[in-house]
Amino acid sequence: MISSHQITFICGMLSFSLSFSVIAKTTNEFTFFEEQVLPLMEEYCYDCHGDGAQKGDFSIEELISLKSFDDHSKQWDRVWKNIYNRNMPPANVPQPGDEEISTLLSWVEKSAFKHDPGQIDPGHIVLRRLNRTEYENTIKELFQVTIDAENYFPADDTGYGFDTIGEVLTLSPLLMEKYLGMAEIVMEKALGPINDHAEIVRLNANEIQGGQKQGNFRVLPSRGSFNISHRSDWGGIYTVNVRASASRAGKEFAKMQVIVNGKEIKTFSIDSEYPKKSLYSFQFAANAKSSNLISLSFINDFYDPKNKNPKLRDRNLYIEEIELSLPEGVMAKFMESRRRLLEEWETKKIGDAHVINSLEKWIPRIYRMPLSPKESSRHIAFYEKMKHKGLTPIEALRQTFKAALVSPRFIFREEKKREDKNDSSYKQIDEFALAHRMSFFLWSSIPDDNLWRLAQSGKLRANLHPEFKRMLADSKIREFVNNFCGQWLQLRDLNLVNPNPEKFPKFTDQVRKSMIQETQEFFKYLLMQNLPVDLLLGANFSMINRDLAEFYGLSGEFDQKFKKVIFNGNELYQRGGLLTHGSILTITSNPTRTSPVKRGKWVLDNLLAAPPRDPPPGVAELEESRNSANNLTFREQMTQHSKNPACYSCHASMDNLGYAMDNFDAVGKWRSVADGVPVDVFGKLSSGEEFNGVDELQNFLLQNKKQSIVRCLTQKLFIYGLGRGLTYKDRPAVDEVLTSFQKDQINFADLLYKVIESKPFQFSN
Amino acid sequence: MHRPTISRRLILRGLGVSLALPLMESFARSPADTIPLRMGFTYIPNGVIMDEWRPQSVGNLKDLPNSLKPLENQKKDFQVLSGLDHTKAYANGDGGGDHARANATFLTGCQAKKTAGKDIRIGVSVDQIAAEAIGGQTKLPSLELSCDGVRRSGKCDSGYSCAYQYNLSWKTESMPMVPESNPRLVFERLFGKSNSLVDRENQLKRKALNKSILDFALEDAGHLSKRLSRVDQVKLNEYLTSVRELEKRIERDEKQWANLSDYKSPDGIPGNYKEHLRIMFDMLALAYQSDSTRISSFLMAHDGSNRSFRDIGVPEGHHSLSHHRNDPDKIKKLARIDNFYSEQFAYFLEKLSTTREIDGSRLIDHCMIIFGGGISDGNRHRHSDLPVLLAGGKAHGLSTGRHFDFGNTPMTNLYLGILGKAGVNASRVGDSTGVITNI
Repeated sequence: MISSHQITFICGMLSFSLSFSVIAKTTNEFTFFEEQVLPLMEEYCYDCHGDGAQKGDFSIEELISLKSFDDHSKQWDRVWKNIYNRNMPPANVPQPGDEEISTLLSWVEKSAFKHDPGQIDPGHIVLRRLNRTEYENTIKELFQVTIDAENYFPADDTGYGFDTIGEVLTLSPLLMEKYLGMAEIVMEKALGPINDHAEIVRLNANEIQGGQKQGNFRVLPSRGSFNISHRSDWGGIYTVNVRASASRAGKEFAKMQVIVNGKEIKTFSIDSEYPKKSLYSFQFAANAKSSNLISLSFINDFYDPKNKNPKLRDRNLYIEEIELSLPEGVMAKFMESRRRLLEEWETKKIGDAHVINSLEKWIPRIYRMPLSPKESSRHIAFYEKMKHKGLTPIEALRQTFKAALVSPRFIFREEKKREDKNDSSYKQIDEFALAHRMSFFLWSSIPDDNLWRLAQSGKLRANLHPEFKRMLADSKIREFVNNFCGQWLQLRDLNLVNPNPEKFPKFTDQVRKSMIQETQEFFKYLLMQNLPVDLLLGANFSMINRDLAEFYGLSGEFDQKFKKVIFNGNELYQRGGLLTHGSILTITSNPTRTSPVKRGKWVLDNLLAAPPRDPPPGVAELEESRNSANNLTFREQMTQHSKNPACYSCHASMDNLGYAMDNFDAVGKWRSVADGVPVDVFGKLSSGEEFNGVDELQNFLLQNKKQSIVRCLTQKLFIYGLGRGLTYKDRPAVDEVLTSFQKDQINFADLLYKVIESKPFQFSN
Repeated sequence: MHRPTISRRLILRGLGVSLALPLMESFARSPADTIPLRMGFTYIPNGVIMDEWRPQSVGNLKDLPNSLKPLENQKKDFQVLSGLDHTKAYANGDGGGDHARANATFLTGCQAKKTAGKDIRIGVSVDQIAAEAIGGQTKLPSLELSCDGVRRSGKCDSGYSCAYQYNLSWKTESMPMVPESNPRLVFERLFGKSNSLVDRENQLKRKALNKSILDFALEDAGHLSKRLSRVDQVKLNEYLTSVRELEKRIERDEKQWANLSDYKSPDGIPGNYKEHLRIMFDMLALAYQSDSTRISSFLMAHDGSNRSFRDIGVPEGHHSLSHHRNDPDKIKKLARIDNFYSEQFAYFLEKLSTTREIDGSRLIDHCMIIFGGGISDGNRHRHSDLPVLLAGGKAHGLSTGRHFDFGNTPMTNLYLGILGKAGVNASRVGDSTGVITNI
């Protein structure tokens, strides 16, 4: 029990904290603690963390007695998280009811966090820039062109486990440089190269036949020809640019006669005196897939060795470079894309009206909101300015689009709020902002035409559920599956691990890819079929293709396509549920062996939202291996280590979860013997719960930890979708989502929809 | 200031596909005494086996220890510096996460604020202090490279955002200079990409257009700014800073123009780690040689990296091995990895020492390259007495061929010394308490 001295202290402390609060009188508050909170702690916490007991080196009784909440906010944060995530009290003792938990949490929030839990705060999302996945998808939606953002942009930093977090998505000078470069690339892909300039075949002095090489040039000192044979894939008019120069003698300039396929095209007088050079251009027509011989002949050689001026003694023809291009074919190639953006594709026909219409239609989509006439006029003014610089309409449009693509209004996701008469501190975001939150959440991209139109007509909120269902059915939902699962379950890391090929020769790149896909397809199936979240661990099926069937040793007919396989008999004992997926088992292993520590930690981090405490600084992480010197198995070493209480309290839970998965080797293949010893898959938590093998572990988690798992998943969805970390202030919102389900059964798509409906998603502070 | 322009074409022509650096006698640049002094920072992850890395005695370098053996030929071009600490990389009340901290503290000398995302904060790194002061003299104020092109998903190190673990260089206390890992893109940044005649003729015109584009974007930023809250303003400021940097760069580009007609740029990221490291070192050497930048940092791998090294008989992951608990077999393997990193660094030094400046002196004599890490003993996550080697700089009065022990001095004092040599006046770097002048 708390001593009177301590009670006096708590009393004082509460009065201090409540001086900020207008709700309750100090005495009431203290009575509340004594009557409502303390008994709960005594009942549910003190067996292990009070009355002198301090399991895991922690006593809540002592924490309460300490001098100030402020100085121990980290401990209170842990207390709060453990209660909130239903990790404490452990599953093998009586559990507090939801109301009791709420009482405890509210008290901690008020006293330690100085937060009034009655107040719902949607939170503030720091201005987010697009990450590289979103950038790529957005460009695809806007211009229907494909870019490779992952290879072009530097990696996005991550926070809270995701790459959608505004605070850590920084914008360095390098990235800005790349935005400008990418804007150019995107416009080339959408409108064609600058000035309809085709892809160019270039030949330098080394690659031209005829004459001889001299420095950077190729020279004809006497009558003769340079020859180029060109394979023309496209039919049409080719433009040839020759960079030429000539030394002088006599009265004439050097003459360069152009003959293509035996037909004379043009003869140039080369007026650029060596080594100065100029560009000489001509055109020729070619059929598709034809071979064309171009020759450039020097036809007026002259030699005057006695001239007083040494510069006028020898007339020679020099060429440095030749390039060929096909402008017409290029335009045709961009016909469709130009029509889509401009309703016209021929450069000559594109005029101001086309461009202005195009800007009015597309700039709002690029800026992700409607623009005022004043705002629109800025873009038109910019376009005019570009034209004054001598650009054609399409080139001026190109520059205007580029300007929009490097604007902060494209790069950052600005969200506007709804006009609201109510003077509350937070407001609903407007329908455009909501449409974009939804599309970035579900598609990692901007709204399509349908969704945009709904926002435009102000009918999105009224049609929220049908629109959600439509979006779910769109193939772009794979972006949510890949990006959310890829990070929540860490599937992306499977591309980074390198299992030792000598030890695991069957783990090929094909298997690696298939493993990632298995988990993605599995998740996608649960989502699309709107199945219960329980199936994450409780499924008796998975999605399998031939590579995986061979790798796992499954019987049946398979091909490269993934199909749903329901496991039976022994296969069911070995497979089914996330913790039997090769992907998860491999990313949580070391290159040469399994790591029960990493596997256990994965479960705690990603399924239970109960990350183990940091190892004490300076104490080496406990790493497992078969120690050759004393020939102990890891479990035996672990037992030795357990004598060190600093390590034991956390490792006991991590490692025991991991042991249960030890029937799978470091690449997720089933085994019953490891290092010549039968695998011991018995796990026991410090709280006394036991499980033998992965099957029992998954059952245990489902039966005892389901609330934690669902809560964890919900939190991850919030973090990913909102792009910010969660705090205690978000408890009511997350709780509201969870309690909105009447039944015990929570289905995937429903959960996703509830997140979209929630206050943090619909509002902004 | 008049600086005779160097034809990059001359430099690059000699390179060939293999990226061998050419001799530079033919290269008209300023007189010898104005040859600039470059600085570079190369990061070794996960600590080293100090017994195999640090020379036994101080004084002149005699027999090199096993892990430095690959650097035998360059012995007269570097010094080993002991007794340097990064005390801000210790927990200091923040609990676990030594790898993230080692990484984050290495060039900043600051304690990383422990956060998984909100309020990232550390401090300006030494290279960025230099870039701010002297970076304007070259095309790129600084160059940041890394071999880690993707971030790990899920959590990074014990509650620290991955930003701390994958970036060495910080322009402000909250904005990292995210490194580039694709050598082809590095090359294109240094020397441009386009090589068509018309493009080259259009280049100046395009630069003028790009300036108008950025002006327009800045106007947009002005409008946006009015609608943003204070926290969001911080993000927009990042944007403004970066646009200004880009504008400066565009202006600098106008002065120098690289002609790349003979040069083929690298293809992209090689599949093999050793090749990747080497081609990145090639890029660094090229950048210094062409005076495209004078300041660089290179994260060979992030601290905590669990890369395996099968080519040298180490199939285990580096990080998991580093917690060796004195297992002799693991220690042997770790030393082999340390040796591998030294070998790659030796390749870089070899490049720098065979490249000549205009006066015939070697490029390496005009460089100060740190090769080191934020952890000494990986098993225990020690951040004291770090493995540090400082190469080059002879022409600018730096000592070489010696092992010196500073005995518990902040690493940042060394950085202040380096900045001083480069002519940068800084009063402090992170936790510095003074300047090391004896280098």
